[in-house]
Amino acid sequence: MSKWRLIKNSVRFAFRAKRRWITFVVIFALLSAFTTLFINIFNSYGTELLLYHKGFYIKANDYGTVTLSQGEALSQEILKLPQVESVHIFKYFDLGSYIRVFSIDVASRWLFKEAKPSFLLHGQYLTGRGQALISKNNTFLGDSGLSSINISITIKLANILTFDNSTSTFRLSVVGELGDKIVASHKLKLFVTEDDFTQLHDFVNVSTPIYCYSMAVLVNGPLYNPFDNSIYNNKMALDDPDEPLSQLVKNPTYGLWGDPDPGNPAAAKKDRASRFLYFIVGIAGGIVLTILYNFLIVWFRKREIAILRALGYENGEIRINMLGESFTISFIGYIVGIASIIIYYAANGMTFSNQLLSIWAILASFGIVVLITIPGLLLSSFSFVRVSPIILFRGR
Amino acid sequence: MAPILKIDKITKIYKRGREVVTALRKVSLEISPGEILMVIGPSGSGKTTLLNVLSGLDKPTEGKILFNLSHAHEEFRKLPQITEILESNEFSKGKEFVDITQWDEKLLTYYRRYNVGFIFQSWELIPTLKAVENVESSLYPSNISSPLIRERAIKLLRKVGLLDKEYAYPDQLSGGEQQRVAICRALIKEPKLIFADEPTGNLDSETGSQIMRQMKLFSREGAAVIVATHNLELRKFADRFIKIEDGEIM
Repeated sequence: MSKWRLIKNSVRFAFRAKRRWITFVVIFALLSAFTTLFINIFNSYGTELLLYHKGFYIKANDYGTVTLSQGEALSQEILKLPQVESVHIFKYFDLGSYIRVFSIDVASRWLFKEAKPSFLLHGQYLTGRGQALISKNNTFLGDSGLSSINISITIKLANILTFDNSTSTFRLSVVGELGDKIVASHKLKLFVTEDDFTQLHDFVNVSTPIYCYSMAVLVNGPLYNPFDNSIYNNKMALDDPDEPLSQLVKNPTYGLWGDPDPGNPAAAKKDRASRFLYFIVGIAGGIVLTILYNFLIVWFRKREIAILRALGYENGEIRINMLGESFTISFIGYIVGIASIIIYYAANGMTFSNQLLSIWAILASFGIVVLITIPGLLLSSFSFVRVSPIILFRGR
Repeated sequence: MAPILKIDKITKIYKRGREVVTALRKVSLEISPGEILMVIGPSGSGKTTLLNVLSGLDKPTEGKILFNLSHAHEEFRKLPQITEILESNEFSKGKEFVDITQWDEKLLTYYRRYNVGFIFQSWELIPTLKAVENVESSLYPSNISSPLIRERAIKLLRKVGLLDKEYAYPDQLSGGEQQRVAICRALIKEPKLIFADEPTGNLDSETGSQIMRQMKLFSREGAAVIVATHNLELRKFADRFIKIEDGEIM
């Protein structure tokens, strides 16, 4: 009963020293935010590579060569292969002569290389319906070339694209720009969600068929190892002439999912090393600060510790008292830090579903910022067991 | 009544830099339950050192501090090490005194927890706790239920006239009020020994007298109160006083 009461009170009283807890909540919030971002940078490095090395894409030779039904039939065949995890079709239709509308699967946005979040400017990405990306540096000539539909468009970020027909209006807001890697000369490239893609296609009521631009095939396989850049992917399976996949990807238009090309291997290695260094510095910094905090708490509460010892508290009971405060403050700071990042990302159009903030980075940050409090406090115990109540007899 | 503490020729020597200081020289005395013993002496005479060693915060270099287990707090007597002594033949033969200088740190902690209450010159209340919580804090590590602890704390605060200030933080209380909270904190665990170091040192004489009257009232309930002070005017509140100079009882 007494231990539970001590724990409960230590949490309850943690917020009484206002200046102290506000200061440390802010410190822990910054610490958790930076730690999460540090880990996330490293993690995204690993995750990105993992994702585009873990599959391959098949691209149509030219526009209008593979219809949606052909693509779906092919994807069904590919799905039957044992190594394949999933297949995603990147499709498009032409809206008049000057606009080409592409679909983006919001839930699988990593799965076609041109629309990877890392390729998007300003970190913008589709997060839901009614949003669109436009191709960067594109020039739109003024109208769709369709007599049945009026389009009022500006092609700047944050503008609304309005499509009118005789009965209704369809609007899309531009939330981001996509690097101009997809070839479609003299056309405004409009990237929308699957739902908007279907609705827009129905709305304009055109008979233009839907075509496949490319197909992303995600294959099962061991993970990429970010520490030595080893890629345990399915390249071997692809190279093996007996494997069904290798038969499939003999098509000259396939490509391993490795774009962008790392280019200069030495520079890539240096970049990898510096990111790894950031990662280590981030983690080590987090641990050092957390331990330092616990020493500071003992220093701040030195007189209080002396009082508790005079009252007959055992070291373990004083430790509970300290730990309750440290744990509570670091946990609140952690929540504030993570919430700040999420709010910041959300304000910039990014959400959890974008996978820009990895859950592993969040958990690792929790371990560093909050759980390290426990060994941190145990280490600082060395300093508080030396606090003697005798100091109380000396007055202030 | 048999004394609660028998101090037998204790000497305390410590080093201050290169200097060797003898803070106590073969001090012997006895303290009985229910009495106020005033230890009077100028600054640096050894009063505080005496309180330190008697309360188990420091160990004497020589000598014995004999604690009468028959006066020990009931919870203290339930500790395995103490039960063992109480059930031994030696104890039944009337050797109820044990030398606390031979105890380890853990047992001394329990000695302080159950048998000793402290009152300090600067009150030493925990600033983040309300008055009632400061009083209760002595019993947080105990097995007494929280409602019972609250009941005891309220009762004590009522006795010292602070019931309307129970939820005030220390910085919202006057010096005299803070000292009364500190007295309640020392008394809530019903200690057998109360050590007060200059308890009126930071108070005006009127408030100081009030505090001493209250301590005298509480001592009548059975606790031995040892007050260290350099203020000779407080002698009138003492049942007995000793004068200490250069570590020696005069």
